[in-house]
Amino acid sequence: MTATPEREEIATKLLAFIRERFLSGDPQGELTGETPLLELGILNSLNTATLIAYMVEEFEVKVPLHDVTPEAFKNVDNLSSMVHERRRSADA
Amino acid sequence: MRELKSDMFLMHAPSVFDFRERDDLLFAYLSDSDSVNVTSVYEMFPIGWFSIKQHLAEHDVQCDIVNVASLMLMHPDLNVEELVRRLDAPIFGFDLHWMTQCHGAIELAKLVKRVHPDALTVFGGISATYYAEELARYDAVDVVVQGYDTLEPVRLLTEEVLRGGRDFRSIPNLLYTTGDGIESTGFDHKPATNYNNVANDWSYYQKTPVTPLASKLIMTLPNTGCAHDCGWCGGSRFAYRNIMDVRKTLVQKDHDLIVEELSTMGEAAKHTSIYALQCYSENKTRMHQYLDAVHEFGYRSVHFEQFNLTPDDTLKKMGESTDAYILLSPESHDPRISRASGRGTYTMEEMERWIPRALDAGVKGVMVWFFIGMPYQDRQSVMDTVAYSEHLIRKFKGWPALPLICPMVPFLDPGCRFFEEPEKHGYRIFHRTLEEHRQAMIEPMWYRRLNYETRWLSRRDLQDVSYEAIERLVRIKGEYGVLPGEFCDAVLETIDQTRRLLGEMERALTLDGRLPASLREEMRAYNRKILAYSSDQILPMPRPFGGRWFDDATVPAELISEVSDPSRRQVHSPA
Repeated sequence: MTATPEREEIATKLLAFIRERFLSGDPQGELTGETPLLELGILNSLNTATLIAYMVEEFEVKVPLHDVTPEAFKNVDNLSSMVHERRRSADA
Repeated sequence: MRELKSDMFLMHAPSVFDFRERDDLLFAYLSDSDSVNVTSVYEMFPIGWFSIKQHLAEHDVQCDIVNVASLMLMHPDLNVEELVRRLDAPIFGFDLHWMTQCHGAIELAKLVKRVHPDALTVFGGISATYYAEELARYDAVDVVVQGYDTLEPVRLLTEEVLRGGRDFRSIPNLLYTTGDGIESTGFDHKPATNYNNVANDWSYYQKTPVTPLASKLIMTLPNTGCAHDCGWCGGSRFAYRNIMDVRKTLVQKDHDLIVEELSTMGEAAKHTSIYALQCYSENKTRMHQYLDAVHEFGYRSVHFEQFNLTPDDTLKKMGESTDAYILLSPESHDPRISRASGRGTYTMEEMERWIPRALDAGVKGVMVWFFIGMPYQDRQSVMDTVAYSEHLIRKFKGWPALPLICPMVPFLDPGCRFFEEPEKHGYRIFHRTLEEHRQAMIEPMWYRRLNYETRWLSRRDLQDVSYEAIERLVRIKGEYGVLPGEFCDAVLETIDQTRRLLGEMERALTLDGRLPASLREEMRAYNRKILAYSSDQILPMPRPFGGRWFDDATVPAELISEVSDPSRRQVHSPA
């Protein structure tokens, strides 16, 4: 396992993935760490599954189903925190 | 005592009533095909009920939908008899649209009759039309309304009952029993235009919370009947001619009404998806108008069912209008089987050349559905389809072109070509009558529930190869990173457990003719677990009940609480 990336690094990668996969590159540059992913429909169930698969592969974390909550998936900031915490626990 | 009053309640029953009491049959994983996000209780009611509700409302008749199946899943300690006692209406309607409800709907009607002996019980739907005479002979069934568009007959019927009358002779499309036997009022109400000519109102669904794994999803149904003629389908041209006795087998809904329906989600459209049912029968003009409306109202995503490879201009418009997903269903990679299934309008090579064009046009993903139980299809052919699926996953990196496979369960639709002419197409039919199908629904093992087998796959083979195929496909999706490993592991574990239980049940029934108490206890625990959530093969992960468009929105929480019996919870709560 590689060293735990910083929260910002995780956020940058998640933003890039979401822009590329779900927002056609986000030409208006609207996506930020606080953008409400569920409220705006950026994450539907299909996209959520795709995102989880990406997080598992890219950050080598487990995302158990009980962690797939509206709060955790509210925005990229919350997702980054979750991934960061999980990586830190795994490294400890 | 809290009560709900209405002029008519439309009651959606579970497939088996009371499924919570059963430890003698297995609600096995895959026994519902797992192609749609419902359980094997089939808790989704026909969308046409919204049209009936709306049409009656426009004539000052109150009609409310009670999804008993969904309520029973969400509240395992619900006392259904007590709930029915609190529903006060002179008419109770039941759907026998899909045959999956054949057991539960009649059992629930019996309960309603026992609690409200003076209420009128009314059945409708495609299967109710096919089996109208047999259905009308059940004591619990007062009236059967035949047809694909029953808005006017139902209105006339409710108005007559609300006036205190029971003279139905002037109302078209009805069958009912009298002292002299079955009375028919003919079957002449068959609108050739403007199918279900009202706008469904989705406003009730606007405030449903959004969760990561349970997207808000509505459906649009722009027509009835079909432009196509698949031999296994009860909605095909052949079946419609056969069941509905019509020459014109595709009747469209007024496009303005569809647009009006889409508008009723308001701002919530931006986080709502649409499943565009039967848009494969729409012409280009109507399809493009639909896409304009989707775009105008800001719907986040739409899943389009397509039987042909969508032409480039429509692909472009789909990509520009929304997050578009296309569902293809060639049924088999083998062109001979695909053609025999009513598809086969393109080869896999043509499809593989088309997929990049679709993705380039902005389509977000293509789902490719294969089907088990088709003519000429043997075990090897099914596994070859899975091998072809691996090729697709490798070539298109998974989600952009996602292969899926499911068995045709539990029934070949009565009225379809293969059901009516089985030998000619390599089929053998096990259940013919409605009662035979009802008894089949409570068979312990799902392969014995099937009403068909083929010359190439016996009923037992159909069960076995279905698990084999899906197990392999899930492993492939795990290997290629399409699905997270732990989701795959959970499905594989469920498949293992299901196969083991089915094997033990078969052994016990063969050797002793009965299921021992210890095995029944295990079956009960399994059923509780499997019926504690919904899932489908696109997202094979447990999703909580509630939040789907068809989950009950009528019975208030206070009433549910009053008619729930906590003492049941020990026995029936999901593990």
